[in-house]
Amino acid sequence: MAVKGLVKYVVRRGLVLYATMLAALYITILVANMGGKVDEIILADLQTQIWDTVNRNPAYRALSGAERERIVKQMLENEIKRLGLDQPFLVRSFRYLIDAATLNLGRAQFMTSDTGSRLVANIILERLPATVMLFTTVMVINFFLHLFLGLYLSRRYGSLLDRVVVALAPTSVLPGWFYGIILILIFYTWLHVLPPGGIVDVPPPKDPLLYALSVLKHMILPMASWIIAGFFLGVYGNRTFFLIFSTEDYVEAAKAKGLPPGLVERRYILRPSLPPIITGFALGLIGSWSGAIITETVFNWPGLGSVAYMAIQYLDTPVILGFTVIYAYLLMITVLILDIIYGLVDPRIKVRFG
Amino acid sequence: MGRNKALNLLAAAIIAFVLTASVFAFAPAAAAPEVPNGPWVDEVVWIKEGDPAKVVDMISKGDMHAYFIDVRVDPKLAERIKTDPNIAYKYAYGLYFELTFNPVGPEFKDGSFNPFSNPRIREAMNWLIDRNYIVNEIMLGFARPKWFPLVSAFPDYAKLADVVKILEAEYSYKPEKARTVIFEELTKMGCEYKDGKWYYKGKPVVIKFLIRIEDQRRQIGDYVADQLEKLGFTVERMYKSAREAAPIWLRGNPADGQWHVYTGGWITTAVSRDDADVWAYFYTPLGRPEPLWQAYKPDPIFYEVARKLWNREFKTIEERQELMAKAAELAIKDSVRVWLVDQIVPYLYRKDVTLAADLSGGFATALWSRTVRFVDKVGGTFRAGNREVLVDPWNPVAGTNWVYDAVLISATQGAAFLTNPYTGLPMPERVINATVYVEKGVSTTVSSDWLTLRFVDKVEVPADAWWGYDTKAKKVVTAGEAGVKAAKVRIVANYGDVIGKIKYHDGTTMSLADWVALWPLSFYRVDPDSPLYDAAAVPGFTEWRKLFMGWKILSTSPLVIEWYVNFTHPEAEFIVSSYAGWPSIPWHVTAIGIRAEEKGLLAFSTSKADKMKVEWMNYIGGPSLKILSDVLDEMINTGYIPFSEWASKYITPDEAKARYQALKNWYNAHGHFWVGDGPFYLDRADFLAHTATLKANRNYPDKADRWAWLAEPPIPEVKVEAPESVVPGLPANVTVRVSYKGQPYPAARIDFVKYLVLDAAGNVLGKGEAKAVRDGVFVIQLSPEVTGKMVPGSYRVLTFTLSKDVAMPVTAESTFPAISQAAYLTALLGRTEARIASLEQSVNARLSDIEGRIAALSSSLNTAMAVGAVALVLALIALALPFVRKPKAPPAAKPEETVVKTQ
Repeated sequence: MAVKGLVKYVVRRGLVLYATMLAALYITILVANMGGKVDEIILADLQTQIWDTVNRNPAYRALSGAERERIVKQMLENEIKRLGLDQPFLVRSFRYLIDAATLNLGRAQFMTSDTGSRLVANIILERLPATVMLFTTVMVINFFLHLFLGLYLSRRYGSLLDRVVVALAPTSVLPGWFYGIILILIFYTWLHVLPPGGIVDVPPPKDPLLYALSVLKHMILPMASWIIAGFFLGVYGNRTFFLIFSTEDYVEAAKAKGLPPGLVERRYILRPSLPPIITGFALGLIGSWSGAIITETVFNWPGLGSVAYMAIQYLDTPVILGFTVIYAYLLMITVLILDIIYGLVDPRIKVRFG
Repeated sequence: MGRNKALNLLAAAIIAFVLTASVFAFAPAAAAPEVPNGPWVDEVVWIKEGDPAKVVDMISKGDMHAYFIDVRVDPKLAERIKTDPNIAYKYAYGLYFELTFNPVGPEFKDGSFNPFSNPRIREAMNWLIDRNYIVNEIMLGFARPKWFPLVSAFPDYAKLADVVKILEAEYSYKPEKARTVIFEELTKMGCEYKDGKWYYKGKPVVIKFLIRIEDQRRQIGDYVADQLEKLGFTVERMYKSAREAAPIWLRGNPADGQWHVYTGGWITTAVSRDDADVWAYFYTPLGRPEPLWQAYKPDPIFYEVARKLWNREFKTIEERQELMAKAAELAIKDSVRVWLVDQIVPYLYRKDVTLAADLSGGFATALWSRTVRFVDKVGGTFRAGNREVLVDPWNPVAGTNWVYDAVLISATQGAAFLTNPYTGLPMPERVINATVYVEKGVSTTVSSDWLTLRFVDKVEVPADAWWGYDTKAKKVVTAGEAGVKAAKVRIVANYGDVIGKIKYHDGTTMSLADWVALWPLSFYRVDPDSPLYDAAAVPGFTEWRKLFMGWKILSTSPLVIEWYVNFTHPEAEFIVSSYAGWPSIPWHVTAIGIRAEEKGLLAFSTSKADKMKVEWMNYIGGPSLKILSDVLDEMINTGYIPFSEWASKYITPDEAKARYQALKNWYNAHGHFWVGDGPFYLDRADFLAHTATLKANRNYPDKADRWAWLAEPPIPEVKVEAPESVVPGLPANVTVRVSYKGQPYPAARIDFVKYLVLDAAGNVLGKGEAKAVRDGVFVIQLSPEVTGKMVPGSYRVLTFTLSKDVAMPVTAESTFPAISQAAYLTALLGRTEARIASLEQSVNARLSDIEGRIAALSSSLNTAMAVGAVALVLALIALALPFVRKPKAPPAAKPEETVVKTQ
């Protein structure tokens, strides 16, 4: 009965989330195209580009103005057809939506993946490993570092270390890329011991092990920049979070009963605080997959952030939508799973499955 | 014996010395490294880096040797690149800034006022702007002042130098003149000047100024806006990016009055030798279809001049130059664009390397790969940086057109012609020589020694020349069958002995099939019934078809090919380079792509790929590789020959299979299908890291030093030696010394030395061309007519020297005084008197000298005479003695010798 109720709940919740996601996607389609205005911009850009291309092409140099104009017109028509701009925006908007709903990410209009593929899926997937490797690793390291140090400090409230962390918490206002620049100045410009950017040595080592080591070497500075940037505020935040929980009445009661401090920490402080921690972790995980535009630029790291930025620059609607679709699905699934996990890990949350 | 011993020792010492000296003398020659085939370096690795500060750091530390795209210079960077001992840079040109004016008005649709509808006000803007301020303070010296759309480092500017330099002087910074003209015109247009502000119909005259924000145009915009505000305009500064500004100035209707001025920027990516069309492009509705261009209403004479140049309606080069000069003069009167600066962009490299830089494209041309080397060694790994590395798919038909990819691709391919980085003229790489036969009446010239130009009454196309390919009948269409009998031009190019000699990277050898087997491809790509049809190929083909009349292979050893075309160009070199190609990619490599597209698995062009919903064909990475590999396996099994009805005449199934197998081996070794014949081959491409490794092709036919002479542009160093003074009405000579690195510049390599004689106010008294006297020396003969126009005062002679080897003109000048005839005669008299006095002194001195010498001689003579007299007396005494005394005994000893000295 409980399983049937769980399935019913999951399906109902899933449908609601799916409908919400579709609505969000259609809004994204409209926004990404500015209600069709982007078509005008793209057309105008194309016309300018084609004119410049024809004017600069020595093969067309001897042609008269009228002949050049005819070529431009023909080339423009080809491009309009290629981009599907000969169809009304409304028709295209629903085609985009159907593709998004069926997870068909389609083809980019202007961009290509790193290996030259036009498929949006490839554009995103080819960058995903590098993004996960750097930003998800940093996110996981930061998460546990902040969690355990926060817990540790919450037990040593007012100690010297605690005061130092509190005092240095504002340094986290500066973004990771800022620390990145400082680290490059120290470890490349000054000491010349670590690479200033890129993902691997040039030329890349042929041996896979050496290749992996080279990648690790290139990860040191970007990872360090993000760890430094988030360290004090992250630890401070968790320490405060745990402090609040550790002053709850039921914790005081547990302490009064004489339970060991470790047990109090695990059962009375950590467990009830887990739902927000898990939520934070899950959302942080999804967030890490979107990369970080400026950090990627500073370290010349081939992540997804710069691809998203380029898609916006190019007004490449299918790529922008591709990102949105992937994150929308990920978010929807995460929220659904979290809903279920909350029920399992937090005894205070009761779900009526029946 | 002793003497012999000494001689032996001396001989031994000499031999030892000679041997030692020989060792020292010949040691450097013995150690001189052998010049390799292919490039100097062993490999080039490409690094992607977009941050200029990091680039500078990497070059300084030796982690990068050269950066293949220009860097935008800020004050810090400028300081660093000028002072870092490890960093050097070369200049390139072709980026330029201007002010674009909205010409509509005087009132826009909304009734607002547009002062720039008045050409006089636009013209006055030239006087209002201090271009030197922009050059020095905003561009930090990395720019040159500019008045015309012609790039000042390119040939057309140089050829017009005597005209444009006068105009530049006339339109230089004169703020007071600008103010006077603008105030006068605004008043005429009904504006009122009150309390330091201009009003039109009671409202302030507002200038909506679109200022681009991405580069120095932001500061330039602010500077110009400040000048306009000083004149009493109310300026609304609209800071916009390219994308934000384009809908307003480029695509919006200028009559809507959304803007008045825009900070424009343009780029020319190669040294352009024919800029005849710039006037129509920038100043008339002919240039572009956008509303702004359609709003241009140039003076009818200017329009006609620009139109003729746009359509190349001139019969002689002289006529063209006259039209260009007229256009320059009228363009600055029109001034719908006021040109500000030609940017000088630095291309950075380390001091321990060298490579040729194009005057327009910097390092990003094919020549980098033919000249790159370490200064002190042969071989080594060169680390090249670029803003992007590996951008779009590479394929041999319609792949990437990014400059970032092209710079790598050009290194992997040989070429019929390369472009001279300093003149923009084609230079033959694989072509040895050529002859062009041109119908009389076609205006073209030649300046290269590899090309012969002949004018003929008629160019007849032989009936058996190949005119086209019939994709239905699957056979070649000859000129005779197509009814083509005549053409305007016949090109005959000699490639030398290349068939069976040139090696491709995969070890295969060039055959005739590489030249002719894929001839039908272009025709299938425009045949709608063909699986290879690509609509994107049609526009280019249509234009080519109109001009191409046929081709014929005259011999295969040496390979001599002739083409018949209707294409003409003012410089015949371009006629040849437009048609005489080179199969830098062997037929079998293109064939795998053809087969993949025929099967609908991939497409050469992005356009067709989108239409077919397949991948854009990429020979070096991505999903295409697996498909191409499968197609290749199938071709090996079936012995596929593309366009077999035609190509089977040149390819046997066994040859085809052997070629495919070579490609398969190549793919297994390098992981891609990119095979060429250039000085480098692509060894590896890493798409995750965006890096590529190019390795030296030691089978390349050319030695590494073939293009060494292009390492530096031989820009002439010019010194003008004016006379001490010039007398009105009398002829005078000015000597112009032209050298390069201290050596006289060969007169044959100088295109011209033009000159202007100007008075203090900038008025031109005379102009012409200097005559070559010998290498490095030219003389300007100022005729009495020219000097007759002078009055006493200061004058200057301004020269423009253009080398045939560098497109950049060199300006040099010297001043001289003109003196009156009376002053001249007085000076002449003074000089004569002084000369006479000097002569007198000299004569006197000489006379004294002679007198002294005569006295000395007299004294000597007297002494000699005295001695002679004494000797005579002694002789007489000696003769008399035997008679006076008898001998005492027979002589026991030798008689005494008597020495008589005579003088």
